[in-house]
Amino acid sequence: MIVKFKLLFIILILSLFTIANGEDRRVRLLSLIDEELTEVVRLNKQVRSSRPNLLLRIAELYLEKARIIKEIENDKYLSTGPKERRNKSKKSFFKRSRRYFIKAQKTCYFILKRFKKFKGRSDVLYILAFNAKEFKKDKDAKKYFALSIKTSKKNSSTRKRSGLALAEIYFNKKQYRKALKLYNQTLVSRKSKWWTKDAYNWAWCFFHTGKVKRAIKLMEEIYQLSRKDYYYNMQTEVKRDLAFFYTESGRIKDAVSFYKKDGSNIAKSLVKVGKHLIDQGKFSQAENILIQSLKYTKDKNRIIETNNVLLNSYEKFGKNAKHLTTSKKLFKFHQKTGLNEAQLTNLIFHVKKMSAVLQKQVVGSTYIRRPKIRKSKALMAVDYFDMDSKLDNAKAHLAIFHAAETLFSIGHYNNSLEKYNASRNLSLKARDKKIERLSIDGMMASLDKKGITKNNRSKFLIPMYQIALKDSPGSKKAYTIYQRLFSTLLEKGDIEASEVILLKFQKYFPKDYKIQEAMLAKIMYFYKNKGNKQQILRWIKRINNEEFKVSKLYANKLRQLILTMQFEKVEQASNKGDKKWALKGYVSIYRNKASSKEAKKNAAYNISLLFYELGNINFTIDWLNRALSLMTRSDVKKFESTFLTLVSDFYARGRFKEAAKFYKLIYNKTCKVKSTNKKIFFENSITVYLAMEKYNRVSTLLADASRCKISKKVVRKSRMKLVKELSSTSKFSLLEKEANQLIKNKSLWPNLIYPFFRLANHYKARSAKKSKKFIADLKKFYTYSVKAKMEIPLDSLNAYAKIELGKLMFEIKKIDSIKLKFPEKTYNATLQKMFKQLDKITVAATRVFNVGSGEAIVESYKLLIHSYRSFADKITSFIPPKKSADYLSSFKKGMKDLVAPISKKSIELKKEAWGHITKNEILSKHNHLFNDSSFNIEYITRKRGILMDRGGWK
Amino acid sequence: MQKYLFVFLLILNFAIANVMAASFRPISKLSSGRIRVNDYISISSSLVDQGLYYTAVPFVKEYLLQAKIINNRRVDKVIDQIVGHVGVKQFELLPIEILSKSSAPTLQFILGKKLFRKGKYKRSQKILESIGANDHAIKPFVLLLLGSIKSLNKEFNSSVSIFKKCVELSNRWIDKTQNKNKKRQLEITRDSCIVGIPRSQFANKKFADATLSYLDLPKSSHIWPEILFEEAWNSFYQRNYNRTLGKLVTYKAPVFNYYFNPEIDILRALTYLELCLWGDTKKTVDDFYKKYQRDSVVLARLLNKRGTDYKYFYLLGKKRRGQKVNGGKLLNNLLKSVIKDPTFINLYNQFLEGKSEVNTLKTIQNKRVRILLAKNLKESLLMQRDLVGAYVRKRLRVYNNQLYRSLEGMSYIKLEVLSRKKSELYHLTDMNRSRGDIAYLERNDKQYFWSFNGEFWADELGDYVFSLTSECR
Repeated sequence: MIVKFKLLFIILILSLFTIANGEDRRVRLLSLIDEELTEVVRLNKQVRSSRPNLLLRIAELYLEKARIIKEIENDKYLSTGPKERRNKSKKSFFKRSRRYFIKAQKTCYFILKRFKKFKGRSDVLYILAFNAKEFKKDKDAKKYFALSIKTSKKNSSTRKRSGLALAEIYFNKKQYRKALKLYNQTLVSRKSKWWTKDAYNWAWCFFHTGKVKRAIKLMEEIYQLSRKDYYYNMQTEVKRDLAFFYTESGRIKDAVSFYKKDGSNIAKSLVKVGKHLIDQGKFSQAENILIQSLKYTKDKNRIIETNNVLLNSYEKFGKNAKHLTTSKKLFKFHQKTGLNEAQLTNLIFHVKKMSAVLQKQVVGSTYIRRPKIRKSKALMAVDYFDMDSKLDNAKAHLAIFHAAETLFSIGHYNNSLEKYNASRNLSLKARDKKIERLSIDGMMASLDKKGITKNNRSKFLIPMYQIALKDSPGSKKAYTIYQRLFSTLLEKGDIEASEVILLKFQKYFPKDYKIQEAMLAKIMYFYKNKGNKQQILRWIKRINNEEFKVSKLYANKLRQLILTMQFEKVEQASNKGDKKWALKGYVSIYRNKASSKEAKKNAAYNISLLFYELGNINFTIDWLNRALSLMTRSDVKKFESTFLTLVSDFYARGRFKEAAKFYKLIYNKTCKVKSTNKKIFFENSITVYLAMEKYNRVSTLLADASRCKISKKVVRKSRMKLVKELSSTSKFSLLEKEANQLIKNKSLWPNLIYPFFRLANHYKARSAKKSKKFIADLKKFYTYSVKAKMEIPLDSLNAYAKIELGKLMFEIKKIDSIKLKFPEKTYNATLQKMFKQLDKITVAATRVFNVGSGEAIVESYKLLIHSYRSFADKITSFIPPKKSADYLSSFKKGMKDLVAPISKKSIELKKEAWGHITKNEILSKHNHLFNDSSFNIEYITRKRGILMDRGGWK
Repeated sequence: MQKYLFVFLLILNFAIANVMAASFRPISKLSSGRIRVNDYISISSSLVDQGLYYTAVPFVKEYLLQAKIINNRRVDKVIDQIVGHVGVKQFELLPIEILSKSSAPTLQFILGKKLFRKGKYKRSQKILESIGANDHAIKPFVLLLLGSIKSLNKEFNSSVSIFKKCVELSNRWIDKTQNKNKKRQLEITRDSCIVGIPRSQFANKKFADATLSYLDLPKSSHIWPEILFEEAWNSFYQRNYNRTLGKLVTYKAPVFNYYFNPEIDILRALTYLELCLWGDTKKTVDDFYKKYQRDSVVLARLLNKRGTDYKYFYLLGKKRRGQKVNGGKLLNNLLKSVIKDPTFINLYNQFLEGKSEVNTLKTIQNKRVRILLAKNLKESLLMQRDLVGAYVRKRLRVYNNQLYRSLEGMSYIKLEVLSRKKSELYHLTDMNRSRGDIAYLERNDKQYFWSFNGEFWADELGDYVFSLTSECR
């Protein structure tokens, strides 16, 4: 039994039907499909899934069921309220249909996998493609449709269906060339009743690919066939689009003749096309057709209707300028003959909407950086508001007010002033107090702007302010108006009126000191400019009497003002070089009892500078002293660089005492403030005190340094300087105290060796324990410094070398104390002991050499040579007692051989020592011992050296 | 066969010393130890003379096996006698080569039938046509087969004339024959030849002629119930759906409740479908499923389980003759249908006849010979029993296959109905129909119109006509 499957065809046409009792139909369909499914599944089970035809049928039924369920779900979705729809995901509405789509898909995959040579593969692929299309997977849909076409038989219905579906996808994706190719293949035969519907897209493909003639011809054919009952009726669409095709190809006459032939109203039909194009978003084409349609009618209503359509489209597509022109056209129509109610409502709607939209754009931030566009939009808005004021009389004042506001926003203040005035007058008539008040505010705001013509200003300003203040003297707006009026009056030079405004302002806003102060300042400035000290003093008196409260800052400024007025002339004289006159002036200010402390301070400072310029150091010091005594920390900070220059000069001139005093004074004054020169004052104070050997003061300064936030590094550096200085004095307790504070810092250890050596020597006789401790410390310092390869100062090297020299001398003493004795055995033992000791001496000397102190090297050479010589002498001079001459002779000869290399070594050492002295330029008092020249000079320095200056030693 | 022969000879050697009764004298030829092929025929002939047909069957088969060429009238006679008595089935199992050795008309018929079954119509026709003698009892059977071959070869005129001749000869032989079984066989052959004529006409698309020819078969015929279905098809092809339904409704008469043919329901559903009576079609399908779906599974399971256990199927058939068997309504109906089948009846009766030979054997005094021949008989009877079982099994299998196909066919019909209903829904067809209208009846001069009111009268069977209006658009 062959049962023909017609399901696919049914699926295809399913969506094309709309049935009145759709719900009932769907339920019946679903029940039938369920029955079918049960039957096919039963059959399929019976044949154990061995027939792909049955499986295909199952897939088709799933697909069919899914589509019907989706229709139901879609109805439900559309009937759901927006709130509920928002709260639910869209997917949840289409859950059931989705399940069946997936089932269909799975079945298809199964067929494809299991029955690779199945003849109905193209149908299976068609379902897959359809499914993919349903899931909006266009890529997959395209792929499967293409495969379905490829695997289907030529001229088979599946090929046609797939071809059409694929063409439709391409069509919707605007890939008209591809769609066209497929339509060309599938729509050759006109047998199908749906041909008209599919060919409609085909015609559009021709149109989009530039084949307008073909498109028109095809549309005409569709139109003809649509008239027959058999074909799906596409007359309405074709009629509409054909006109569009004609107009697009410039064949308006053809369009007209088409409509004439058809018996349709041309203009009406064209408008219809235009409307449709607008709905499709094809504005320019729509505009073209609508404008064309106007040529074919003289009917007033039709013209208005067309213009209304144009108006709608201009609004929709943002063609503001054209919208305005059309609005004006309709407005004129209205003024001449009057529009009917619906037309008028539409025009008012547009005028109001556009005015509002444009105003919003003008006021908003979008066009702020595009002033030209903003301006043009504003002017258009004003035009709309003007029209609105005439179309809607009851709210004319409001429209004009908005126009004024718009003008104001683009800075057309003179125009806005006029409009505000007009809206104020209209508001009065309309008894709209709110807009009246707003208009007044607007006028005042406009008046306040630059660019207001004198005419307008003199015409509106003061009267407006007075109106405003009269109504509400204590209001918020009055608050601003007082200030503006005050300024206006002051500008005019009407100081008395201004003072009255100040007093009124003070009355209504007694606590707004800031504005009062500003007004006072302006008054003071006015009087200052006029040189009217009396008036200034009068106002200062009122301030001092606390009639007006002013801020500290302003009080200072006032004082400054007085001071400025006081110093003005003296400074002028000083600047001109009349120092004498200036000095007199400053001195008189200083001595004047009425002068403030500030004035006196300034005067003293200026006097000191004038004396410095005049070269009188004593007077400079004297007046500087006075000025500094009056100056606060911040004053000192302000002039610190000047002070530095002055005090450095004092120091340079040998005025150590004064320099030290000022350094310390300034340092103390800058102690607690942030100052760039504070460190310099600190270091200079220390330098000067050290020069003056005031070590205790230095110590005090150092102890106090942290309080003034002098950096530790600077303090350490200065303390090291003090320790160095103290090392050459006998102030051991202070030295010990300061030096001990530096131990923690290892970088200072090379410099501390000498001070510690001094301390060790000092305590040698007093406290051996302390002395040993210092020695131990300095050894530690030395070892560390050598290891860390730090540079060790010469005095430190000498000091350490002296310790090593002490050891050398100890060893030499030991050899010196040895005496040679006989018998021979004892002699030999003693001799051996002496050799050993000589070795030890040599090692000790080497240690001294290693220290690198020039003086110690020379000293140690001296001792070494001495040891070698005395060793040789001791042996040479020894005569064994009670021995025969032969023995003695033999003994002497033996000893001579023994001594010879030692003597030779002592000579070599001498040469070596001299070599070191000359090479390293060692200045030692023992240098002469190594020089064999006849003229030997011992270099002797005075005990404490010489302080040299340019004059040399005096 | 060889095995039995060996046993047989062994026993004979022992028994040879005892002189047999005079009636078994030919067997003494075997005692010499030199047994010739022709001796088997002599023995068989002796046994036939004593009415021991089934006992003789193994000797004849042995003879056919060993003989190179058989061209002896005497032999043919013996074979014809035996086959005519025990039926063709016992010899149908012999290979074609062996059957070809004999020129005996019965064996030639068996050979032709075997080739016919194998679809070798030309060879079959040639062999059957070589059986020339009209005076032989096998001739009506030969003509039936020949007519069928001609019909299949689309030689319709020739086939019709052969069938007519067959009817004539059958009637002649029916008059001559006294044996009840043979008479029934001949009657069935005659009736088959009667319907062979409309069958050829039907195949020749002469449906109207066929309608008239079918009416030539008397309702008393053994095969009339099944021919009713063919008539229904014939009406269907003539688009006389109401007549089709009328023919088919006959099967609902209680007298036919044993008759099983699922295609009756298929045809009924198809007819409703053609009349676009979706509801009736669906009901027919649903009733069919309700009636058979579950039991068909039981039947299939039984057939699978029992395989080729012929004894079981024989016993099943035997039992059903007396009472109901376990296994459900369907199985019982089917078995009832089988046991009413003339072929089954023939086979079964032949088996019973064979059993009666035992009594004859008991009269043999020589114990050894008696035992020997009893074993021979037993072999034949066992074969006959298995043939009965195999026939029952075969029928059940055929029914099972029919059911399987019918269930599938019904599903397709239902799907077609659903599909058409759906199509109507999609096309918004408004179904406003009225059913039953006498104006839609078509009759010929051999048919009468009876208004059917749900009761069946024996003489009305097969003549019912429906008056339904097609609801197709």
